[in-house]
Amino acid sequence: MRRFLIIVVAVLSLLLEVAFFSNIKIFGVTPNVFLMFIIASSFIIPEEDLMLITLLGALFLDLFAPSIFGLETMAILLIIFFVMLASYYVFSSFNFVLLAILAASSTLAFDMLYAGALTVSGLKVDIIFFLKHFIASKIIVNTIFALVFYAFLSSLWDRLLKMESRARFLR
Amino acid sequence: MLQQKSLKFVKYFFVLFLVSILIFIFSFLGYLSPVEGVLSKISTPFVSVFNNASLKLKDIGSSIAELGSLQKENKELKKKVEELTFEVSRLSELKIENESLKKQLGFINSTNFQTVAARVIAKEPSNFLKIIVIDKGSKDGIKKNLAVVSGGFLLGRIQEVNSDTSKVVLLMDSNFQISGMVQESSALGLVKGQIGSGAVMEEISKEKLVKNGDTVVTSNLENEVPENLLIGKITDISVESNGLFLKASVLPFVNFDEARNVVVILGVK
Repeated sequence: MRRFLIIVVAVLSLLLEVAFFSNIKIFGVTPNVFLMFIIASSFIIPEEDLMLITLLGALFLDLFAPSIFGLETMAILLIIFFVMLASYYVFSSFNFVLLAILAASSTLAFDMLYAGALTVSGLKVDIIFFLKHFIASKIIVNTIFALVFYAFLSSLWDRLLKMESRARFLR
Repeated sequence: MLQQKSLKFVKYFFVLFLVSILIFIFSFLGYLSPVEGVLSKISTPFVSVFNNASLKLKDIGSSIAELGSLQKENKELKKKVEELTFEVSRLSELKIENESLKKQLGFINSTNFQTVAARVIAKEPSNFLKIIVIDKGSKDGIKKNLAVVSGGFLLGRIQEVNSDTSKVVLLMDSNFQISGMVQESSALGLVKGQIGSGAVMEEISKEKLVKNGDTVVTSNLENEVPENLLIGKITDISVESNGLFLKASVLPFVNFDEARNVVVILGVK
């Protein structure tokens, strides 16, 4: 049941990023909905599930990216790896400030890696223009998404966990 | 609820990262094109649903904004406007789509081009590039570098083709370039996209008379693109830094936000 919930939210976040927020921008930017979902989930779901969802979701995003297929996936996997390393070594317990820091730094890291991926694919990218006009709003919007995702997922996860243990007890 | 972490994820990461490197290598070598095509085909209906929903919401939002300003100016009509809000928002999407299709149909009928009509199903979500995805691909005869028009104006060029979908690099993207001609003076130049400021036409001979307001069209120097497709209007002229050529800022005719149905020009009949 909990896995099913995570898969549904993952699919929704992918569709929202590719086909919804690319038309309706927030403060002029399209949020990295899937990346923020993954970062928020890294504090909730088991590592093996998280890594697999990251790979499959990132491959879906790659379908719509102009870079060579697989490059965006590598960028997202790298980021989630460093997020998990940071939450393992640096922070002993979860708090919302930690999540906000991870979301903000991941946004910057992802955009730089993505710009690199586009350049490797032979496309011209104006990083200075992007940094001047979009990065601040993107960091704010992404961080809000990560916080909302965490609040939503953790409350649902806890509720489902209680339901499952109650059902087990009754059996 | 915070999951108890272990370092197991390091192992998973290295395995999956290796998988993604292999996917990248196979894709780079071109072995994954059929797989990409199949995956695009499967995901297109779902992506289309979300794309249409967001466009409808966008239209409702703009309708509400318009009604808001009308309310300020016409207080006595407030009640009437409120009654019509729901109807307007419901009809606005249909109206825009209808107008767009009429324009495309008019363009198709009035030319000698072999064309394919397509629908925009997604936009590249990053702010780095201006690229859209359309629902027609190599099965429909689409090839790389073909011209894409909207409302009779040049919108972009095909950048990448899968069997059922294609990616179009828009005129305002810095990866876009096409050989152009100033209609009034027949001056040739290279039209390049510029994110944030439309497009620029470079390498215009200083001997040619070019002025603000002149119309820029496609030239006959491109193999895949027919000549005389309308690109935009010159808004500013300066001398290039090397002093040898003129450079002109070009304001594209096409409305990028309204491009929902497009036409790909396959060739001349």
